[in-house]
Amino acid sequence: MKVALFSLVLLCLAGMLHAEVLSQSDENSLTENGQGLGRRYAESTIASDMSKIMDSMVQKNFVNFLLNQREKKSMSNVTPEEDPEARLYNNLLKKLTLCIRSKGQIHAKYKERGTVLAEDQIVQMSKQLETFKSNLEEFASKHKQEIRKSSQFRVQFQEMCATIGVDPLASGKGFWSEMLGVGDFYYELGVQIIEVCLALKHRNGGLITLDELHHRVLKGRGKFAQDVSQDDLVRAIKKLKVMGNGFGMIPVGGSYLVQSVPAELNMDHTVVLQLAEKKGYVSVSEIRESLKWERERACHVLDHLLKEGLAWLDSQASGEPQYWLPALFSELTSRDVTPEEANQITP
Amino acid sequence: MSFEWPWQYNFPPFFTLQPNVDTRQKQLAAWCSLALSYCRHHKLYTLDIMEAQESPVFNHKNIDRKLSMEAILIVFEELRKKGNLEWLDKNKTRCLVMWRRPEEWGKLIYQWVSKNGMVNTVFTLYELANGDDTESEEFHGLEDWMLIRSLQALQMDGKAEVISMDDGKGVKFF
Repeated sequence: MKVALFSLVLLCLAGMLHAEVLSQSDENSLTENGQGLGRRYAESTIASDMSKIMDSMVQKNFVNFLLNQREKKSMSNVTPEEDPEARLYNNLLKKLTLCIRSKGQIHAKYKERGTVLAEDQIVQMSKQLETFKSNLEEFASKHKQEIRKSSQFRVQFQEMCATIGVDPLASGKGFWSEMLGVGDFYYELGVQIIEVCLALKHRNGGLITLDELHHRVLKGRGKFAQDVSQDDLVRAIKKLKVMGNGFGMIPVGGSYLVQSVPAELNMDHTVVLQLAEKKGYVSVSEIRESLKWERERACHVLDHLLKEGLAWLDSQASGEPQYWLPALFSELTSRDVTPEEANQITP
Repeated sequence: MSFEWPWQYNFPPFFTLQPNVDTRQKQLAAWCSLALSYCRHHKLYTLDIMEAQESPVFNHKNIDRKLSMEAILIVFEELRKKGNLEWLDKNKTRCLVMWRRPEEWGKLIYQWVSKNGMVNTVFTLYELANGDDTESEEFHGLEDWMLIRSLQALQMDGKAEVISMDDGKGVKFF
């Protein structure tokens, strides 16, 4: 072993010498001016290189030592007496395993600690929630009337609930509806929406703009009822969807068309309705121009709208027939239901 | 008081007969009520179909739409079915429009009579339709043929009896 060590040292020295020669040759290639600097640099690099080599040597030594120890250990199993180096090595090994084991234990302890902390946090949170709830209840009971009347509040309330994944309208029971009557409010609104839609169904074929619906619901509720925003209507209508596909909303130019008949409307129909929204009517060539459809597709959609009673045909228009949607006919919105019409609704 | 047009009157497709059966029914119902209320407002009892075609009811000049002759005939037929119209000739060129049916008129007249305690009194037809007493009543100015029909309707119910008098006809209410 000692022989091996010696040879290693020798080898290393040889390497060092070789390196020196190399750096010197480098130095020689430098210019006259940079010579002093070059030498100083060379010296320092040699020093660092030497230390590097020494390090690697030590490492190699250690590896060799370990390898030898293992050989010896396998031999020493036969012989009872122990080499002091082997003992040292074994001790080291033991310490290492101990260290690794304790690391695992520490990890487990951390975990334990973590759960305890989490529990603490949950307890804290529920405490906070408790106080929040009681404060909210207090606030709610104090300002009940204002809250009930403010449509702004309802919008924000709904948004808040949406972000935490709660649907306050899912049930009539529960804290919110009992405290604030939010649930009841929407149920009531839902009934009023149905009333308005049914009353105007014969006129518009079951399509109504959200604006008109809003206007009529407000009128029906009277002056002293809570204010109702269009957002409230949209939410109430979404609730009505639970009762089947009778009620739906078609987005049209930033607002909605509310559909109260179970007509099957696909994307094509919706797009055509959107196109008709501005003027209240569409024609085949208009559809072809703005949507780049073939004549057949346009005709098909318009025929469907006629068939569902959503559109009326005007064949006296100049040029080509126009398809009018009473739901979008603006003069309609300002008119009330006449007694004759009312008679038709209730046979 | 000017006549108040229904919303449909400004709705261009209202003047085109609708292909969809359901929509057409709504349309015809609206046309019937428009035609009757127009006649009532202008106290029209007979209509000539040629004139009707040019009247503002069926010809909306502002939006340049008019109901075709064929469609007008369908509307009139609908009215006839409901008992509000009668043709005066076989060619269907002139008709009587009864924006109140005879029974309804009879009822109105009888109400007025009983309200004024004139049951068991004899009236001449002229008195009823053109007398000073009935000036504020709706049946004031009712045409003779209509008046007689309504009284006959009352007679059927046993509430009146039309009698012939020397200078025309009279009626006695019970």
